[in-house]
Amino acid sequence: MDQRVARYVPRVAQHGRGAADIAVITAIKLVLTSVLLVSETYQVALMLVGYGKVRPPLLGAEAASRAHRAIGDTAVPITVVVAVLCLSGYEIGDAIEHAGTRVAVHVVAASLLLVALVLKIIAVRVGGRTSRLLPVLGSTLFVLFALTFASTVPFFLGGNQ
Amino acid sequence: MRYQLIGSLLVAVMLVLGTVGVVSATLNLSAVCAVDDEGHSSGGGDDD
Repeated sequence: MDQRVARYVPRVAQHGRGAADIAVITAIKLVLTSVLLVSETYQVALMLVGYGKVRPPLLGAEAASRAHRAIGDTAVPITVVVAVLCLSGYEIGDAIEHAGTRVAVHVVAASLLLVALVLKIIAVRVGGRTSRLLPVLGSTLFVLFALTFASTVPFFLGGNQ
Repeated sequence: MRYQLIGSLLVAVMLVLGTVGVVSATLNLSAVCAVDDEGHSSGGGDDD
């Protein structure tokens, strides 16, 4: 087993799940969270084009906006899967107790992220005046994605705990 | 417009695949998936 994941496994495995389950769940979460952050960064770039802030010669605003919507529709279920894996795979209270501030920040950021995600979906569906909120909600989502990522993934990929 | 949309989505797919590849390789994911319930890898990897 990779040492970065192995270091985390014994602490969580004692809470009823096998070490293999926890290692695989952790690895899947790390991959999906990284994918989400990269795609969110790309989403920000697409909407800079979509709102006309950047005008590259090869990409129009409408195409960028449609691509943003399509990628967003894909990112939402992936985010939900990661959240479900997190809630079902770990004992959150114990994890905060063991890892302290880092996990607490992760839990708060991820919870706010889900709230912001729901608000953004509502704003997209309702349209009209609520559309004005989309840039703010999108930026908030990106920051929360980055915070959620930064409070977990580097600690595993970098070999720290 | 259609080709721009397809191009944008292809870029997204490539970014996703690249990220999966880099993170999987960094984590040595094949070894992680091969662990048994006692936390031992069934082959290869850098386990002790």
